[in-house]
Amino acid sequence: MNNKKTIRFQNNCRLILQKDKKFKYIGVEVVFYDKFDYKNITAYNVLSRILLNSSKVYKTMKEMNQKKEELYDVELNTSYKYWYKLATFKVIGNFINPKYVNNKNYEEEIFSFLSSTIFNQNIENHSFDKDLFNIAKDLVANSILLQKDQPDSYAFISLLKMLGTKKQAIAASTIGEKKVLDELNASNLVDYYLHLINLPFDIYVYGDIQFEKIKRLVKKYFNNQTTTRKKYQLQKALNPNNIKNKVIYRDVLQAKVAICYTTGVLYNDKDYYAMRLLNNLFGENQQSKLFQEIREKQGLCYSIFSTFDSVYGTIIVYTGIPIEKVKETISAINQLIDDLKEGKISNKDIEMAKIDIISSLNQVKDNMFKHMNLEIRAACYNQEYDVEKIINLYQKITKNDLIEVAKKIQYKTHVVVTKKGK
Amino acid sequence: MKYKRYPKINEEVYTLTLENKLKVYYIPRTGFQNKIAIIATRFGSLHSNQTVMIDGKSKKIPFGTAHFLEHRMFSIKDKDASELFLNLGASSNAFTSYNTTAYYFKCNDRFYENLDVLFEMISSFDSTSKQIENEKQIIIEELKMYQDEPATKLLNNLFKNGYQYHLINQDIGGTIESVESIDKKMLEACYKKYYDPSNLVLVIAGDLNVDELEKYLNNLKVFDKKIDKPNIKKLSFKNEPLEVINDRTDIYQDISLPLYGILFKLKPVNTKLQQKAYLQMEILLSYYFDASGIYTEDWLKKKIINNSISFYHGMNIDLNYLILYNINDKYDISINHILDVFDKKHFTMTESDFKRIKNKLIGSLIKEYGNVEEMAKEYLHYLISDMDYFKEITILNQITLEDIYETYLEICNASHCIVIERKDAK
Repeated sequence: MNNKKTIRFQNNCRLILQKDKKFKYIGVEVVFYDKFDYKNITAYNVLSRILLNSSKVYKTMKEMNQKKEELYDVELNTSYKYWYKLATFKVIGNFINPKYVNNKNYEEEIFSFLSSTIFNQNIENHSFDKDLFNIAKDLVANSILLQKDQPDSYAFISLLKMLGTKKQAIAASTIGEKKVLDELNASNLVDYYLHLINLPFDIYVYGDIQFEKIKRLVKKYFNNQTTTRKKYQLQKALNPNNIKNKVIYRDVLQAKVAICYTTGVLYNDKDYYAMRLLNNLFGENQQSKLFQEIREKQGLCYSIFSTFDSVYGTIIVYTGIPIEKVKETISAINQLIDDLKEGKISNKDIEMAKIDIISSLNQVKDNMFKHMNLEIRAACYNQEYDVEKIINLYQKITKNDLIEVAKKIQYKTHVVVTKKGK
Repeated sequence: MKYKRYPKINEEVYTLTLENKLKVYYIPRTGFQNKIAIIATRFGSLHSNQTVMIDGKSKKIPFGTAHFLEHRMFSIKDKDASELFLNLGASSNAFTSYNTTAYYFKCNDRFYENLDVLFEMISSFDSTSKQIENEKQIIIEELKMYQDEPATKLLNNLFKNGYQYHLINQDIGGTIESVESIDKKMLEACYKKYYDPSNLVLVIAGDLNVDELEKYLNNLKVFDKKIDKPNIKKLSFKNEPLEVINDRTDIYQDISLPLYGILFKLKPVNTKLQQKAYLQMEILLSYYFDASGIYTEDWLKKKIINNSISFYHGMNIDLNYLILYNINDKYDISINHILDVFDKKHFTMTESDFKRIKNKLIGSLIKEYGNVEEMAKEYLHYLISDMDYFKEITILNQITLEDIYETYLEICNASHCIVIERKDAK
């Protein structure tokens, strides 16, 4: 990426532009910043389905989606993400580079469409259209139900649920709660909507763009008054007291296992990059300890990986294994953690993990939405996303640094989804 | 290298056929960091039951062999190709489909060193019997993982109910029994027959110097030891009847809401016309069942469907099918409504609908072309089926409303089968 520009408008909205000629499409993210509230997960999930399917201008689902088609497949989506006390609600869109379209007003139409989707909803007498609301509510209700039907992700979700209460961001369902959903109606959802559109927001636009043109369009269509920006706590080390392991019985052919470890290492900590590197060699790259030992050597699984969450400092290992091998697999995984603490890390392991992470960082330059997300996260922490600086930090990590962070890893609990009677 | 330009979409492709008959396609992606190389053989799950020579005897290829071979091809003598790629800053992977097995890496730097590894990996089969035995357990866990997914189970059952002889009715990975029956000799024999350079294609995409690439390819020394061109018969499933085997099957599945699928068994289309047929089907189904579809909003309001109906149109050797699926408590009502659409009386598309959906497809294709990895994989997918991915928009512009009506009638006239997965099925 090159040619970056940040513009701050009078209404406190920031416009972040990245010009890159190589892209055939233009990406837009409108990011609202809010305090995390578990009820918003459900409400915004319903609201999203209304926003994406209607507006004051295009009142029905059919009209709205036909307009997206007419505009050469404008894709719109939303995402609600949270970092401890901070939550972001994003409206994400992409459309083709105007040079492929025989329409001089194409970009103008897109920004007008995007703006009306977000800020000009079809509300009459403080109520959304009841039919559309019911469709949205049904879709969310079914999504809540269907979470159980994918045994692998269900193991993951169940593990997260055990790490806190449903009101806490770590354990809150990413789809929503039935109880909150039952309380929603076409009228009280308007309150959530009005709260949302009055939040402070930023707009990211990346692609083969002309700065002045985009600036003019944003000024014209996103001129809402926004409130003052607030600071929210973004991370907190998770260290729950004794949590019992959980076994969930389902009619499955393979046991799905999710194991939680705590590390106490967070995004802002000095050990953050060392922990990310350690997790990469432990369970992220294709030659990881987990992959080599559990899959290649012991032949216990097809899929195995670990993820490091720097908001709470947890490492979660997931795998699918033969039903009768649960105990020995968990024990073998724990042994691998002990090996890390004892320094059983070769220079080759470290080198490969560094190469893998640095290569992924460089590849971000080709993925505008990944790039935006990294920029947005850094901005939330009041930092600049500087890839060269990050690469340099990874290069400096030593074996001793890795052993020191490995010593912080503590087993907490695990969930097994398996077949009854085995 | 031969050069072809597609001015309207600003695309270009360089091609070269090496002395050993390996065909190479290079698609420039100026400005991108990412470079990708995919090498693929025309050997997939549909080649099961073909024969190979083992110890002088003709043996049938067991189900799941192409996929098994994919798992073991990363072995290079005492080295692991994944490790070599990783050391060179590349990530690598592979996939097996009905008619192809493909291996790829993507990287930012050291492209030619990575390409060396890809060629070294593909130019010999080096697994030991012990490694093969160990791999069986891993593959069996992979099969179980997919079988635990309701959607995979639905798809497999639809194919089993729809097709009697066509090998689409077999899982790409095979069965636990067939995987257990595969040994080193079988893998070696399949490798020898299907991994000859004349049966391979290589697709490269990224920001590379064409002259440098051409020089590298012309100096390539791999595959030299192979002399005899293997005798690969063209696959044929012409004995497959046009009628499905079972009209309807209800199966037990531990799920919260019933999942159903309808498979329409369509008349196979000549390879040359497949690309047009794909696009016609895409336009028709978008018109009916996308979020903008003529029935979607009304059916959602009436709870006839849950979410938009998902659809998948598949074509392959002597194969053409359409699958529509959805999740719903009222599955019977839902199925009846879908079937009613295809009663020959519900074709109402206008020229303006047609133009609008074409716009959508043009936009969607241009966006797809902008992603290096996805574009390269799609290009390969089309190539293997003798189609040109970059001609999509040209072909799209040749389609008429009458063509869409023909596609509609084809579905109306097709035999179909239904599979319903639910908790209360016996």
